[in-house]
Amino acid sequence: MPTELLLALSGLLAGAFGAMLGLGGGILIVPILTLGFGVPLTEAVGTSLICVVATSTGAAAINVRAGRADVRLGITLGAGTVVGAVMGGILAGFMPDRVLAALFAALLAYTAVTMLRGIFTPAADATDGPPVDPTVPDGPGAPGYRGRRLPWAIGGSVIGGNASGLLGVGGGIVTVPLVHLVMGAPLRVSVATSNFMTGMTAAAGAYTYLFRGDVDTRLTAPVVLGVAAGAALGAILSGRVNTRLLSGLFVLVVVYVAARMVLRAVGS
Amino acid sequence: MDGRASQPPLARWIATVLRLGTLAAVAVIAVGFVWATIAGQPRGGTRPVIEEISAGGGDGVTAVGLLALTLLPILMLCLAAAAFRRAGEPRMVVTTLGVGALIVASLVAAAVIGPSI
Repeated sequence: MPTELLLALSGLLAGAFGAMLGLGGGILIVPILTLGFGVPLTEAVGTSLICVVATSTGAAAINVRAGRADVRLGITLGAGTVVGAVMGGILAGFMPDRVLAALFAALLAYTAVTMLRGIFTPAADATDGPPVDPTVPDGPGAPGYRGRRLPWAIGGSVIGGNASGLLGVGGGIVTVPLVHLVMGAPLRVSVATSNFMTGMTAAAGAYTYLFRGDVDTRLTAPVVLGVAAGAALGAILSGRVNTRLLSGLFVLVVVYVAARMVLRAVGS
Repeated sequence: MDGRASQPPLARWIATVLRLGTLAAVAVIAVGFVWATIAGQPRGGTRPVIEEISAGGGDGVTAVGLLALTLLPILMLCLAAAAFRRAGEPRMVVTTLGVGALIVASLVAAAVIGPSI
């Protein structure tokens, strides 16, 4: 099978998996490219960031129109994620491959723990309290969470952006808990808002890779096309699959990939 | 002022630019990729996006699509700033333009010093 077709299929899988589990797909694309296709880590991160922009902008269009994303909060926190993403992109240019692999393994481990916790705890939406409208402008009647611990949230979003720019992921693994747990926004709003921010964050991080020459267009094109198609397919399938079973399968994959990344970090 | 009146245009503008922009950019990437494959264009490997665009051919078209995709958030922020201005939300206009300026600054910095970092 031609390499391009395999790359497109990998993108399709990552996009579909990501959409069904509410992830950007970057957490799968980087390991697929590095471990499956032997692509250098910095090049895989650049490719992944562009894929994350594609999936985020597509999903954000739906979330914003449906009134699920808090655009005002997303743009405000975007200031932090953008700064973090640029710093991450620059840092990645100086970091040895092994250090990046170790950091990615740590991120995968954190993701696995977070998803496991999600599998064994009841849905948080049930405890979200009365419904809030994230589309209400600032001022009287605006959601109360919007101003809560905002300086902390902006500081935390710099870290989320840094993880995105450095490791080629969407950063949702940091920003969703930040908006949900630190600011107190409902989970549904947190996920949609984080997804909205991801496009800005990944784009800011991607420029460093694009202009530094860390993106191979012939390799990136089939992955982006596959991811875009996969994200659409995943959105269609998401209501029909057992999310808990899918999350369990995903955790197994993530643990395996984390172990491979650790081996790569120690040079085996 | 009834701020709620500002929400429909804001949501509509953002959703439209993101949806159509993503479709257009992905279409350009697909055209470039198919062109490069059919023409049997030799792989150029990794090189800065401006060099790729200057080289032309299918890979150049793909590079234009990739760059266009990453420019979408900037376009979206410009439209959001205009919507906030129309709705009389000066604080959000400043915040939105500030975030947009940060992204543009990262683009300019990457274009100017990118190859050396």
